[in-house]
Amino acid sequence: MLEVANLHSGYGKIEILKGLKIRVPEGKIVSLIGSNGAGKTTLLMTISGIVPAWKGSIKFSGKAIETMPADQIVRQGVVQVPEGRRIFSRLTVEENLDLGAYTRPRDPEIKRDKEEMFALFPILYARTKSLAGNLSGGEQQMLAMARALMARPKLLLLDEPSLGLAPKMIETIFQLIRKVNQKGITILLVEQNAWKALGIADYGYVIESGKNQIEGTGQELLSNPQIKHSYLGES
Amino acid sequence: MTPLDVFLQQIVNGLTIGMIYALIALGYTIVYGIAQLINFAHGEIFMVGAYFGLLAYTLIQLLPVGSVGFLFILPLIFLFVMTLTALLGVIVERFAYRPLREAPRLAPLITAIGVSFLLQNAVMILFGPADKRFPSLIEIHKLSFHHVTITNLQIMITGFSLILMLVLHTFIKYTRMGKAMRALADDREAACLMGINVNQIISIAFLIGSALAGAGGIMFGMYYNTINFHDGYLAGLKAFSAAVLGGIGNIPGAMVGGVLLGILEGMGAGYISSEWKNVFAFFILILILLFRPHGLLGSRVVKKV
Repeated sequence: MLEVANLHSGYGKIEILKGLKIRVPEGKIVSLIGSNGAGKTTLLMTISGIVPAWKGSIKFSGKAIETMPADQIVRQGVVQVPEGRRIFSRLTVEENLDLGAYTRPRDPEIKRDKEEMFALFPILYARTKSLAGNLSGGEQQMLAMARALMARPKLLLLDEPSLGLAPKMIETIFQLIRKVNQKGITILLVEQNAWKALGIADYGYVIESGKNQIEGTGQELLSNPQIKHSYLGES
Repeated sequence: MTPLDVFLQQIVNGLTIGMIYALIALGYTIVYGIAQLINFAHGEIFMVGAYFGLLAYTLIQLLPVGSVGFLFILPLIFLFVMTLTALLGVIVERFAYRPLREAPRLAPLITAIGVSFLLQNAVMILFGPADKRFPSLIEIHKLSFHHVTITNLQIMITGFSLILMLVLHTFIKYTRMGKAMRALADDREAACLMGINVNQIISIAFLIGSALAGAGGIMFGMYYNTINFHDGYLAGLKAFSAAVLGGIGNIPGAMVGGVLLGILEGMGAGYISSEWKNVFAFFILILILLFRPHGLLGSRVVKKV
């Protein structure tokens, strides 16, 4: 579904991604792990068209998207939940959801989708009219996910969804990721929390300094001694 | 006249001109909120609006309509002028600011000054450097309460400005585009990730701001009956002060700031000296920047991570 090949990109003159190659098959969860500064967020931002690709290709359902403007990429069905949630804090919860459906003007099913989001994330229902900035970190993460789902993505890009959350909330978020995937939405997950990320993944990639290091199924990577040492904190 | 009458009279006069300041201030604040850009050519759009109004009036006089028809023609003049200034604003953004979107913030500021000079000089060449007489467009009636005089024009200016503000408020609060504008003001990158076309929304911000400035321009002409190509400079700076007073980027703030500035200016003119009138706006600007730089209604931006 998503094919990234020989991707180079970065900020200003600084090259962050140096020939990255990633494949995300339809219906799967693919996790991407790597240390700080490995280029995980840059990859997602390049896929979303926020950071321009310098070289290489990004194909989504066979279509080249590496030169498409960001708003067109969303319209193709590639939607991102960015790192740090980035919800619209001065807008209400409901307005955030409405903006998630921005690419579907006058779609009569928006209302139904909103109800589905409230069923999936019941915490949001009680806070429909609250300013999003007043939600707790975990609630904001749920809102960010719900907002992205309102766009009816085919591929959901998740950047560090567990960042800064309490262990119990992390558990909830990962259950929700699995639930979303079961609805048929393909997921590319970027995480610092390698245990969790690989535990949930059908396939995983380890990247370092903008290059591929190791790849394999979630289970393979979890039992790989090198990964155990570097990312899972075991010696 | 009792002291109370004098006071009320200054309130009435200040409120009228304050409404016009508020309309212009809205343009500064909307554009700043969305594009983080101070459009210093905005005062000139207002001035051009007044000249477009004069042009529309002159054209209509060539048509065979009596003065009776003016109540019907007035809305047409507003529509004509607001459409043209909206278009002008969009063109200015497209060619003067958009190419500089990723440039350091000083660059578009300097360009804005360039656009200002361009518009001023274009109007000076087309209409001449001398003051132009601007008709009241409606027959002026005076209403007196004790010794306080209110004209029907003052009521019209206040009423129509309030209607425009209400329409703007409804648009920003309830429509899809309005929500997109607020989202963009909140977090531009996140707005992009939701499929919002940033260029399109910035164009709409310029369109709305310039249409409001155009309406302000006509009302300014009707109220003072004389316009000049450098009127936009002073009115623009005052409206900018009003926007800062209310909190730049804050829409209700621009409305409150404009009205407040108009009233304070009226008070200053009435009680101290009308020759010092223009000083008050800038004195207030300095005070606000010193003691409350985020404005009356603006809040310090706290980013949650």
